[in-house]
Amino acid sequence: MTPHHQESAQSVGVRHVQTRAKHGRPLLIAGVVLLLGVTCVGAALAYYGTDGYLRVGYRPVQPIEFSHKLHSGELGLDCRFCHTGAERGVHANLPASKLCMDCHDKVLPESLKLLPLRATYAENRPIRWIRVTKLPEYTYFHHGIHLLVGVGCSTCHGEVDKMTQTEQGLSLSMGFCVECHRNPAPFLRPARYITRSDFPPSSVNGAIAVKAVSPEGRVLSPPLHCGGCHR
Amino acid sequence: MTERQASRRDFLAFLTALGAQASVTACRQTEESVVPQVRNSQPLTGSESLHFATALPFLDTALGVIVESRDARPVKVEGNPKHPESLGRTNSFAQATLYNLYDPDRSCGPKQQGTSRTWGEAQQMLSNWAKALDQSNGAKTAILTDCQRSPTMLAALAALRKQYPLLRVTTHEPLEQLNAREGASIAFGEAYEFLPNWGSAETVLILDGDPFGLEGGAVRAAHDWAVRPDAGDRRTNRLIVVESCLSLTGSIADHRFPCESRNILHLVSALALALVKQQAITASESLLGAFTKLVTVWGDAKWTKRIDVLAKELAEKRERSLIFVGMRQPPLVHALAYWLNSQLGNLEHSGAFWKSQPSETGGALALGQLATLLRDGQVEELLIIGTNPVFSAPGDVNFAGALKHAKRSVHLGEYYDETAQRCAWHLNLAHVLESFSDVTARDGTSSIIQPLIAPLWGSKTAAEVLMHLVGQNRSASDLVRDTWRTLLGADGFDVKFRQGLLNGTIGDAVGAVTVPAPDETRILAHFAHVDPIVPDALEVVFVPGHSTLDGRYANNGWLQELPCPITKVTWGNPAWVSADLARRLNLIDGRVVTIHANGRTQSFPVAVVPGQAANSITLTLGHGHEAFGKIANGIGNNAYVLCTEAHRFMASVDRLEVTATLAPLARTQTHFDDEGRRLARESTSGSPAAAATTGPGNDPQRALGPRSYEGRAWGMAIDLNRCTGCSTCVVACQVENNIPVVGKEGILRGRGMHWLRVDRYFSEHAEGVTTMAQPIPCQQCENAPCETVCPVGATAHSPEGLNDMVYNRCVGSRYCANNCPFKVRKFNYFEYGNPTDDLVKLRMNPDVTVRSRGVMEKCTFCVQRINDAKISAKLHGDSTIRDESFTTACAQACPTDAIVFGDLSDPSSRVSALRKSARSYELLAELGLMPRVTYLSKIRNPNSEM
Repeated sequence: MTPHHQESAQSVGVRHVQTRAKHGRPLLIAGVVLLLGVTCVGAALAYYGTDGYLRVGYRPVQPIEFSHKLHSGELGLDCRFCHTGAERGVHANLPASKLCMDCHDKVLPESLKLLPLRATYAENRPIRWIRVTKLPEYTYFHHGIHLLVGVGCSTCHGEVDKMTQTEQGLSLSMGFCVECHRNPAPFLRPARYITRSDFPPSSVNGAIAVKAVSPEGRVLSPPLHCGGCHR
Repeated sequence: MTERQASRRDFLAFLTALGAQASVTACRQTEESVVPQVRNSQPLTGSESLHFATALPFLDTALGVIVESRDARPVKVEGNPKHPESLGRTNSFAQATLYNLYDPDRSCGPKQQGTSRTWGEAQQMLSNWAKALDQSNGAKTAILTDCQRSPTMLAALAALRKQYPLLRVTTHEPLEQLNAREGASIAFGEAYEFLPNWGSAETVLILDGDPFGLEGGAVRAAHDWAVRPDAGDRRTNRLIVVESCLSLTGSIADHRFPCESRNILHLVSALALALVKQQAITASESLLGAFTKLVTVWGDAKWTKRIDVLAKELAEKRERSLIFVGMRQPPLVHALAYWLNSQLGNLEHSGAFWKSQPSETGGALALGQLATLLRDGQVEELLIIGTNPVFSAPGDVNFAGALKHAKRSVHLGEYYDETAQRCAWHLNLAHVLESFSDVTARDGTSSIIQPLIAPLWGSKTAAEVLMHLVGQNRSASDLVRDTWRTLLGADGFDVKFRQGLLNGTIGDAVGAVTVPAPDETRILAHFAHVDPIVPDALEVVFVPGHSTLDGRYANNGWLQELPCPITKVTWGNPAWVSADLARRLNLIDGRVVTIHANGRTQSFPVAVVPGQAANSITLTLGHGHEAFGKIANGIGNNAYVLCTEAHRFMASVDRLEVTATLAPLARTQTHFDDEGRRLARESTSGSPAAAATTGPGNDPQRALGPRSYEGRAWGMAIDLNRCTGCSTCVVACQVENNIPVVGKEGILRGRGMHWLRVDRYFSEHAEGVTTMAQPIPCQQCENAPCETVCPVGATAHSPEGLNDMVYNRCVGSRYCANNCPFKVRKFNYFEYGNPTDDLVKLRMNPDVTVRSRGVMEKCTFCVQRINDAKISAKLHGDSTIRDESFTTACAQACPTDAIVFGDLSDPSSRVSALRKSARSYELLAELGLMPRVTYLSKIRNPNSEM
């Protein structure tokens, strides 16, 4: 055989391989796309579908190392002492620097940790805290109405008075909210226990109350229609 | 083999890259700051709304308003129930003024010849000027201001004149009621303002005027006319309108006749003669002669019978009728109307007179005279406050040319507009919502204007700048307090002032006066100045822009996108022509014509409008800016070019050229026929039931079934008998719900985003055209066709009957909009609504989601207000919500209370009662949708002989 033929024999072999590859190439591409797709969906689920996305455990570094464990836990300050708007307002606000200075004018006057507080207060600049608990912007949550009907602080915020650094304790996903809205009674407490973090959670009986009644006998109508929260 | 190895390696590399990317994007969401106060200077815990009373000057009056403030900035304007010009209502300009406050195109600081300067440098300039004025006593100085109704401003001007006695002060206000005042002068010897009592007049003849539409007191006027709580389903008043172009007032009239504006004088003469013939009034021989001469020249046969019937009606209703003349008619017509009203005994009962406010001009200098003085060098220094003469001066004045001669020119205005750019200095004027000032309405009620926010750009009020010129560096609040301390007296002043700030009105209203009988001799003398008629000649008539007014709102996106209530044209000012003229000249919508009038030329696209007088062309003022802002520039054509000082509102057309160009009109509605579906219904007074047909839709009980509703059931009733079509509700909805502006291109593609629209229908008869306006919100159907077709369940029915829209679930299939028979659903084709500019973000209502691209939106019955009301009620310990303790934005804004919102499950609510009315009907009842919105048919009260 001429080298050409030999080549052609080899090329026959190569062609044979190429022929397989010709069918194989589209298959390969399809396989890659499928794998990529599965990876993407998997990644998306792993991110959006778990608590990671929902910021459970989100613990940002704050400009001042404020410890709830010290102030609420050890000192026993009530939540509403600082978060004055929580009871009736739309948002539970952070207190003005003046509230901190009411004590810290005299308490620990030389603490370096409190230097940002004193400095900003003297310059009449506000403290830029990093927000820990945040619901998406397409939801409209009214804080005061929840406290009014008897939702305790720790039910949604976790045991804040045990946190040295404030973190988001619970998922606060839509499922979390709807679970309570469908059957609120087990999650509620009498008004005087709202700020207690050690109030034992009631057992959820499983029966869904149509006309839920709060511990004080108030008839509840938490919205379950979309427009109640999404507007 | 090499290929395979390479492909595997590449593949692995790709995967790794993807994995790395995935891990990077799995970061936390961006950090957000929470910034509390430093010292609790305000009793805010965040997101509470406070309400402050203030006032908005509007044309020749003022609207008292209550502005909602959130996070220490104004977000919504509502009417002040305690203010007589408002009665708790507003107009579209009051609603839209918020846009101007947060307009990025607003002037941000002083400028000298285009270079930015600080206010310190500006104040230095003003001090230097004050020193120069000390020397000259104001000999070569003039102040040109807009119409001033502010006691503090007038006091400042008086102080200036006292210190510099040779100072000239004059006014340029394009829409000033000059003709009406001069007409009063002719009739009574002095200038008076006449305020009709629309609530008591039973028959009203309106000649070429628009008191319920675009004149100053329209909010109160429309309310008084339309709201007759005791009338029930009958009409007790009758409106007859004669005008050259359809106005809002004409559109609600019981009889409406087209007539060229220049012929109104002849019509009035014919009417006077008819009244004399019927022995209802008397006139001197010479006056009768003057009338006869005019009538013979006019000689329009079809009017003869009409005028006889009209005269008969006016005579029958003497003391309870009214003849009202529009601002564009010449002074003689106004004088004749006063004379006729006086003869018929109407003046005492159908209205009241106030002395014209002593404006600082006292009618001293016309703008043309000022321009001449500038050119002659007799005036070398000019201070222009709040007005834009380069844009809006009549075309023959050439103010721009005159300005060049000024040695010192200072402009004080909100925008760096055409005039500002030709002045040596520009100072930024404070917007009304950031000003401390005061204003007096037409009826003498005064209000304090208090700021809702500190000036965003360090701007100052006009009074502050004027006082700089007398060497006083005082804040606006001090100046206002000084004025009122003088007016109210020092005794108990603090209490009275705070009360005034709280209520929105301060001091005693200046009382009405009685006028002498009209002087026939003076009236007769003016007949000599009447222009001769050229039959079949074209006239051009200038009217205020429904969206720009006189041009000051041209950069307001909300108003530019607000469709004209009559033509539904946005983003431009076409010339209105009659169908007759269009036939003669072969004109179609959008055809550009060049109009030659008064020796000047301007081009406009044409709109063929029903009801237009055959030989009359209407031009709207206020468009055609060249240097005002990004929104205003290049939109429309400047109609002021064609005006002259002698012919401000009407002129004859020398020549009309039809060009080959087509400039498409951006209309939100192009089809004005309801195709027999009986959407906007009317009937005649006395037989209202005929209007609302029988059928499933008219059964009030049916609306609440077959679904059963425990608890509340929200519903709305819209009374077409009260609706004027003013479209204030449309702007109010836009402000409240963060509805975006899509621009002219968007409107041309039919992508307007207004949740609430006002539809207009025309029907042609032998006598002319009748028209109806109908506001269409989402009908909140109980059997909503949109809910069943959403692929992702983004729209669901709430237990209270609302059709909820969930933006975050919507994927943008647009099937719901497809299925909606009312076409009330709007889709965000682009990122229309999401502002990137920080200033524009301030304008958003924080209670309503800002929608992104790809999301459907629609009217929600202001669900944010509903939820707010429910939560407030619970927080206050009582779950019941009083009827009308809150309402939707559209219902709150409507001047005539045409929209009523409430709880249908409450039998005592107003909306329940209206739903049971014999006039009540649903739209497209045959579809079985059971909408929660019902309409009450319009009642016309025609004179059977006319």
